[in-house]
Amino acid sequence: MDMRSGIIDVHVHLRGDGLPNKFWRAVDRYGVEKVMVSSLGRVWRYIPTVDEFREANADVARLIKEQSDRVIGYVYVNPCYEEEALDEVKKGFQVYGCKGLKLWVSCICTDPRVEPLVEWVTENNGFILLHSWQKAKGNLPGESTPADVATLAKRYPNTVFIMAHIGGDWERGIKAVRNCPNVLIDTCGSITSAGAIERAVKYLGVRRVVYGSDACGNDFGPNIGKIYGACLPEEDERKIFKENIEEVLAGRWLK
Amino acid sequence: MSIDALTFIGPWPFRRLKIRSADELVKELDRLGLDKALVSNYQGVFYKDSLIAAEELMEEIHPYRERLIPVPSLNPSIYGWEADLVDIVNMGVPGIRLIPGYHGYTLEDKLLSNFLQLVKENNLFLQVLARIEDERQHHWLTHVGQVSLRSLQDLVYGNKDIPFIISGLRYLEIVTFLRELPEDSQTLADISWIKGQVLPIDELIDMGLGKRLVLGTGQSFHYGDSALLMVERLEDNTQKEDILKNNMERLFPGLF
Repeated sequence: MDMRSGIIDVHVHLRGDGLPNKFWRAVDRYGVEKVMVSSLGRVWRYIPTVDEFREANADVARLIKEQSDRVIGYVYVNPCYEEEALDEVKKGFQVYGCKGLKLWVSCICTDPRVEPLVEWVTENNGFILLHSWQKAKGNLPGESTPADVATLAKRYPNTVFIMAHIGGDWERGIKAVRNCPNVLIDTCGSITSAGAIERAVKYLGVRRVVYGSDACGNDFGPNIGKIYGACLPEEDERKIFKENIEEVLAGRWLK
Repeated sequence: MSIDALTFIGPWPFRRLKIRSADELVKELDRLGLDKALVSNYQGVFYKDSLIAAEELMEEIHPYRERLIPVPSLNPSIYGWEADLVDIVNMGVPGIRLIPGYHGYTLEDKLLSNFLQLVKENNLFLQVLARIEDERQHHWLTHVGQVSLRSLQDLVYGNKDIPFIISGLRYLEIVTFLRELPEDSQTLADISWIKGQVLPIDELIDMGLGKRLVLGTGQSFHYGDSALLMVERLEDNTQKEDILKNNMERLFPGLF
């Protein structure tokens, strides 16, 4: 396998309050040009407090400042704290320079408390990275399924959503968002089952597929390997690794 | 020389896989630049009759015996397995795969003691699969048991004269498993499931465990590139060679 370069990783999390040296070694080793990071807290909690998500975002802000050429930030909140969450999203975009909102498992994404956040992000040319899984043994209480993502996406057709992990159980995830043209999927996570990338490209079109790793919880290698393993035309690989997300970042993806 | 310690052929009942035949697997090995592979079939996971599955495996890989090394699976919880094992040994296989999670027994089951004795007498190696598919993705019709780390450790520690390849362990499991392994154990672990960490192989090598690791891709169920890329991008060529072939050749001299 040859070395491709120019990869933008759309799904990275801090470990503790930053990214360890080993992470940057891996970035160089795999030819990753930029990473899009969020922090789920110095200690990950499913339902973080206001102080915890504020601290997490301050850590991301510091990293953006230190590594502005390589780091793009997401602001992360718990939507259950409606007022504080909206204030933090505004701060994330306006003060910290974040480009997207990350939502995890504090509440299902169709919860009405998520709506003001979606509306503000949309008005401010941002996009939303949504964790999503449909687990064989059951989801967490606040964990959105791909069907939840589809419901939200249909409610907000002018918002760009990225459904993480191809929805976890990718065969169901891809089908759930097939008719939501404002939803991209990211390919990140520990699932490396063959066929997922080809199926996503077939049903969604290559333009709706972006590469992610879920580092520091996962390595870049297996995740980049999924894209190589799909044996797509080079032009499609470039779109998945970089060009599609560049369009999202530039606010051109839906236009 | 490079060896993939974990490959499969055949149909997976719940999803159409790109690689199903021996011919397709060999083409994929070529694309990945791999020379040889240990292989079994999914029929051996799902058939009640392990012998039929083994016969189908041997027939399918016959034209590629130089590259595909058969390691059929056997279910020792099904009556008559002793005769099946004799027939399978007569096919000229070097080892057997155990897939307890799919075959309805645990590694603590007493039924294994006779089986292990016959494995030793026939100079076979055992490849034990802790998992094939991520538990979160199992099909609603499957009931797959969990293979506990403790039971794997007890199996390996209690049978030092059997060479083992352990497959399907996640990163933290492999750390615990290999760190506690007695030095004289003839055991290797494949890297097909160690994704949950940045640069996980570097970490394992730094812990002094590099001589215990072998490439296993888990194809056709998994993308072969995923595991292989982690090895190919290692900075030290000796470490790379160890995982791609040296560790296997050391444990199984003459097999490759």
